[in-house]
Order: sequence, then C-alpha cells, then structure tokens
Amino acid sequence: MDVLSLEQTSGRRRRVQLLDADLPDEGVESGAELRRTTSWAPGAERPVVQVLGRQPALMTFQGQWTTQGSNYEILTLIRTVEAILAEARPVRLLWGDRWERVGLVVRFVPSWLDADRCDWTLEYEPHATEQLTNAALRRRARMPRVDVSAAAAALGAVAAAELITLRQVALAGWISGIDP
Amino acid sequence: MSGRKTYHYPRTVVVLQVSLLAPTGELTEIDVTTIPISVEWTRNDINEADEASIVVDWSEVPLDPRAVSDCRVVIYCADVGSEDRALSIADEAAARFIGFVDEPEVSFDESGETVTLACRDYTGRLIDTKWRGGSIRVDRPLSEVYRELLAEAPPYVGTELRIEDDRAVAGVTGRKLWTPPSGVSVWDCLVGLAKELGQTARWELGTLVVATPTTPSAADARLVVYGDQVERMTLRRSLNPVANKRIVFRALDTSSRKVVEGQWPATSEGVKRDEVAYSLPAGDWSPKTLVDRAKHVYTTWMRRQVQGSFDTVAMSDLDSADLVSLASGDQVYLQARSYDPARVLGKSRGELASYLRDHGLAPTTANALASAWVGSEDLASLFYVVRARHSWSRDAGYKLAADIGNVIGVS
Repeated sequence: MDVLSLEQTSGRRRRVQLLDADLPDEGVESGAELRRTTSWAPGAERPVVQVLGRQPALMTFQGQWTTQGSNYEILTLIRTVEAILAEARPVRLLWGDRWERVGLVVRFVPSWLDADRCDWTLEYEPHATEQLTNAALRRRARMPRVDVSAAAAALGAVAAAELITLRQVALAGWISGIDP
Repeated sequence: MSGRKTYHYPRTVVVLQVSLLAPTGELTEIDVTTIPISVEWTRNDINEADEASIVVDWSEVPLDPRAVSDCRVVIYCADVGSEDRALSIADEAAARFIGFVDEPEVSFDESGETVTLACRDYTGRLIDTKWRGGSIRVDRPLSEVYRELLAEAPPYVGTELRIEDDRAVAGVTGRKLWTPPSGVSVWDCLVGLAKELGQTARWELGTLVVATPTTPSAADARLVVYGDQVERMTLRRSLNPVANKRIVFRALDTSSRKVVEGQWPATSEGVKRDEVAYSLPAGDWSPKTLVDRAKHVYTTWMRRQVQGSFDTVAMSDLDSADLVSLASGDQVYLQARSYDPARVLGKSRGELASYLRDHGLAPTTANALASAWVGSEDLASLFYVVRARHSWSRDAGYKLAADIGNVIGVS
C-alpha cells in the first residue's frame, strides 16, 4: 500500500498520512546538490575547487484534495499540515519503502477551487537522508498489536478473512483510534 | 601543469570553554563543540597578539554575554581530503588558534540571530596586564622567573613552557636583579628576559616557546603563483624611502656566552631615529660583525624594500604544502605567470618586446621594458609573511589573504 506519511518527531507528534486520492500528483523529485565554490584564478589552467558538502534538494509536492475522494475532511488535513509547519519541529517523511527523510515543512499553500476541491502545494526541506535498512524494513513489516475487537466494534461485524486486511490498514494508521 | 591539488574539502570546528555566571555568583564551566557560521584568524608577528573572530548560530549556542564570565576558544580548520570524512578535534595538527574571548556579542535581527566572539591569542592578556612587581630576581632558572610572571595573570597558571636555554639571566648580566622600564606589561618582561639570553618568546598555540631564532630556510618556502592558484597579487615599492629607522642586530655570542649588539647608524651620530631590532641565531658574533650587517641592511633596505600581498582560496601550495598553517615569518615564493600566451604574463621576453613594438613603443623602449619585466623576479621573488589572515565560512569555504615583504640577504 502506497502511503506518504509526515510525522513530527517530537512535541505533539502530529501526523498526516496520505494515500489513494490524497497522494500528491506524479512528478515528485527527490535529489541533492553538491555545494562547492569554484575559483578560476586569472590565467590558471584549472580551478581551485572547495567541496563544501552534499545538500538534499527541496522537495515539492502538489495535489488536490476533494470532498468525495479524500479519506479525511479537507479542513482537517489543512489544519494539521498548517500546525506542523507553524510548530517547526523536525518532521519525518516516509513514503512507502522508497526512502525516509527528516527535515522541515517549510511551505504549504492550499488553494480552494470550490467548496469541495482544494489544490495544495507543500515544500519539504530534508536535513537528513536515511535509507531504510533491512532491519528497519523488518521492523515495519512486523504485525502490530492491533485491538482487532475494537476495530471490529467500530466497523461492525467483520469476516475472518478481513482481519489481515485490518492489520495492514492499522499499520498504515488509516484507521483512527488504532495506533500500531 | 603544476602538481597542486585541485579539490579541497575545507572543514572547521570550534571548541568553546565557557565560564557561565549565575545571578548567585556561582560559576559553571561548560565545553561546547560547534561548527561556526564563519571564522577568521590572523597570524600577526611576534610583537602583536594573533586575533580571531568567531560567529556562531544563536540557535545552536545561545550564549548571552551577560552570563559569560570568561571563555577560551580553540579553532580547528583543515582540508579533510574527501567528502566522507569529518574534522575531529582529536586532530591536533588541525588546531590553528587558541585564545581568550575579549568581547562576546549577540545580534538579533531579521537576517538571523548570531553570537560573535572577538578573541586574541594567549599574548593578548599578558599585553594587557601591567607588571607591578618592580625588579625581578633573576639568579635562578629562566623557567622559574617565567612562572612567577605568568602567575600575575590567573588564566596562565600552569601554562606549558618550552625553554631552549633555561640558564639564569644573572649569569649573562652579572646582576641578581633585572629591572624592567616602568609601565611595561607582563609580556614585555617575558620578551625582555628572553632577549637577555639571545632568545625570542612566542606562543605556539597553548605552549609558550622560548628559543634562539633560526635562520629561515628557502627550502621550506611555500610556492604560490599568480596565474595558477593566486587570485590577486600586489607588489609595491616606495621610491622615496625615508631612512629613519636604525637597524639593530642582537645575537648570543657562543664564545663569550653573552648577548652582543651592533647598530647602524650609531647612536653617537646624535640623531634620534626609530629602530628596528632583529635577533640573530646564536653563533660566533662580535659587535663589529653585527655593525657591518646592520649597515648592509640599512643601505640595502633603502634600495630594495618591496611589500605586497596575495589572496588565494587554495589550501595548499604548488607542492601540496599546507597553506592553512601559514604564519608571520614564514617564507613564500610569489611569482606571476600565465599559461595563456594572449596575456602579457604568458609571453616570453621576445614575444613581449614584439607585442609592445606592435602597440607603438619604440624598439629600444620595448626591449628595455620586456627585459626589466622578465628580469624583475631576480630582484625579489622570495618574501616573508608579515601577516596571514585566514577565514572560513559555511557558504564560501576557506580563503587566505597574506601581506608580504621581500627577504633581504645579509651575506
């Protein structure tokens, strides 16, 4: 299941998890830049280069939240992201098993098209890149302790075959009230 | 093509040893290691304290000047050689400056919040501290006298000393007491006592080194070239030299074990002049020999005193010798070249003369100018560093700006 998660690493640990129609549009770039100074002294055949270090590039996400297609109230999403930006605490960005970043949400612009549709742009400045190690992947794949009975009570009678699905969904944090 | 390095990886770390003052008067000592926003340190000659300025981010080191009782700093800077290496404070060769903060300052504005620390090396507070002890008993080892003087300034108690000739000054002067002029500083006393034994006193980071001066070797000179890694170079010579500085040479005569002196012009001429004093290495010296040398330097100086400067962002010279350690007194070969034949610097003597004739100069004038330019480096290409200013910042990396003077041979 493809899930884009933004979670504060401290404080109230606010979290936004986007999946399905809430996910950003395609074209998200994740790159890096090598900071350096290159000085060509007059008459020199080759420059003096000072390598200052690798800097992850700013990541820009754009998408559209709609009343019908979203898994959340649009306003809930907007207010949560705005709070994450305002509190300026480090935010862990996790997208499936692609990569994990720690950085800051530095810009968020919701743009209402009408009462049911809102375009949004979010800029995330990564400060550390962490490749998910095999151990980390195994941790994330471990079945969580899910109170299935509580989930069943919330959703009504559930067939046994659907319990596994519930656990997967709980891992993604999609079901509110169940924290894997 | 020269063999110099193209790629440098400049990294800097500073260590702050802060004494924090609580409203109750209680002091708390803390150590903070941080990467500054920018740092600059200047290696001055031995008569002046080295200086430094460190700017750190307030959000990383929230030092309020009102709470700072004292602060010692250490600056580390080096080319770490590759992107995946970090600079460690365990790397003693990377330590470039140790000193005390004279003035901490915080600045808050829309561009950010920073703490700026203006510092001087260990010479600074010794210059500021007046000697109030009157005459000094010198019929004991020099190290013992030094420890008594350093005790006048509390941070220096326990300072590491390295003294080459630790004899008693009384053995040279013949007097048990040494009386400094009134109003001098503790540093003046330390330097004056060292001179009595033909030695100089200087700080090598945290160690006070007292030793006889050595003859600088041109073999150790760095090689920097405008046309390769030097971005800016200036040379100037005063055509109206005012011979108003008396030259004084002092040296320890190894035969008599006494310090002898020679000067030119002699004081008997009755003309009051500023003097420039040099300490020579210990050897077989006599007053007459030193007078001859002083006279040679005095007359030569009027003809050939050249001063200048150069800027570079390279961290090593053409032979990969470290430039980050460049200090006052070090020697450099400074040349101007170009690999581009379209530039004047890239032409041979014949090509330059032809170029000047093509631009309207008479043949004799063009030939004279071309010969003078090509031959000028025979007049002065070896320089000593008067002052070396090193700087580093997170955004711009490392830079060196040096003031130089030409080396005048005395043989």
